[in-house]
Amino acid sequence: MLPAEIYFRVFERSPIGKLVYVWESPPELGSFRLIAQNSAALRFGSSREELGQPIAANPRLLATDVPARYANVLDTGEPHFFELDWENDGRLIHYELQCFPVGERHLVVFFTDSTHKKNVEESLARRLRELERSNRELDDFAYVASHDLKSPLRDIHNLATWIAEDLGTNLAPDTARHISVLRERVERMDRLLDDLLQYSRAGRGPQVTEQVSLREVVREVEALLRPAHHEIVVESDHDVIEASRVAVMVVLRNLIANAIKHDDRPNGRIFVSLTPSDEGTFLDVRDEGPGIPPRFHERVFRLFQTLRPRDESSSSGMGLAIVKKIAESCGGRAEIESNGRGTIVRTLWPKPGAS
Amino acid sequence: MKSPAVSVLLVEDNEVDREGVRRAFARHRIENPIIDAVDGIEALEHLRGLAGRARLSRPYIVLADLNTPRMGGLELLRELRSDPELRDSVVFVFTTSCSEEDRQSADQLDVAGYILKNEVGVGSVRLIEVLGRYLQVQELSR
Repeated sequence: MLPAEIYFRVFERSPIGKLVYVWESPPELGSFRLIAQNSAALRFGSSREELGQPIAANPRLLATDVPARYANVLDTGEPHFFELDWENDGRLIHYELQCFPVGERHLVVFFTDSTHKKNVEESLARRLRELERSNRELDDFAYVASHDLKSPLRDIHNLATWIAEDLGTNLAPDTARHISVLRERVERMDRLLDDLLQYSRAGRGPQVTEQVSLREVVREVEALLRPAHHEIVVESDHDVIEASRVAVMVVLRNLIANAIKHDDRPNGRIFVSLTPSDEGTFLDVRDEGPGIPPRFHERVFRLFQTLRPRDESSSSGMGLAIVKKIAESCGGRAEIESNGRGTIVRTLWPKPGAS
Repeated sequence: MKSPAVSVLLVEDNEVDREGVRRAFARHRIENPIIDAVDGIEALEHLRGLAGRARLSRPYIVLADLNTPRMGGLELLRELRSDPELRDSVVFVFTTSCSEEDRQSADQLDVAGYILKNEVGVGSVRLIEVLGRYLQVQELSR
């Protein structure tokens, strides 16, 4: 095959529509004459009758801004990309066109029918909007539900307290016990709602990152939880993590509270450390408690999951779900390492800006 | 002559909370009379002597829930502060809302105190701490 023939076949067989125009004089908008079209162009809606004709012979095309764009390409010598909606046989087609000059008077147009691509993009964008809306609604729902459910709960608690107060010593032992269980259940539900509220807020709002000192946050968490029999040990050379301070605080509070709550010995130590890596910084909270069997590692991150009967533990089963949601909303992740005794909960905090 | 005791205009639509205030008063032997209004509109009717209600005579304080039907506590406060006759009313806010925004709005409207309703299991300690002390001081200065 001769090189000229190879060039011709490349032009002819390319799956991209190709048109070649020559701008005849006088150089008016209508005087672009089509001198070549490939088979893909015909497939995409260019017709054989147009070949050899000036744009002036196609009033509908002349009425668009396309000829002016062509003229501008030849005037400036700059390639140009644009999109065009064009009706062909009653069907609206979306074209993407690239045109560039060849010499001073010739113009080449590459174009594809991107109707399908555009439809897909639009439907994706629509679904994304719907998803965002339903996520927002879900968050709002969790927030409103947990907030509004607290009020009747408070009433129930008050009423139970007053009944016990008013009956005083006339209370039968069973009734006294029932009232005390009733109040305890109400308190439990109140904690659940608090945690649900915390969960729905987790990862909301703008994430402002700053240089957070691990030791400082641990001190604050300690002051908040006031562990009676547990020691919290910061065991790392690195102290600073660049992250949202509130996010680190909530994650540490939940993990340390968990470690204390689930320890099966009267006292123990909880170790906190930072490890930089290529992905970002790992924040580990390690305890010496009973450990979590590997088959439960995935389960414990789900909402409302606990591994112990509700009566034995004050856990709402939301701590790790909150940790996971926060880590993920910061672009990181949370995972568990535990085999036998002791558990490490590891959260990854990516470098800000890297995604 | 002894001036009359300070009455408490309680603006609260939840009857359990209304009873909670009465019980807390009784328990701490606070004998100031309590007048109920379910929302801001009813509170204004008491304060202005409208809708066939007797006008509440001074001295009084207002203990208002933020979230009541028809007219909430903040709206009531705005109404009071723009009324030349009522603008010097002493108002305590009584609410479950710990929203910073509500708090700031209340502060700007010059509230005497912001009392959080008791959390489950905590009791009405704060109410008595804040309000009881205020009423005591009023009592002593009579």
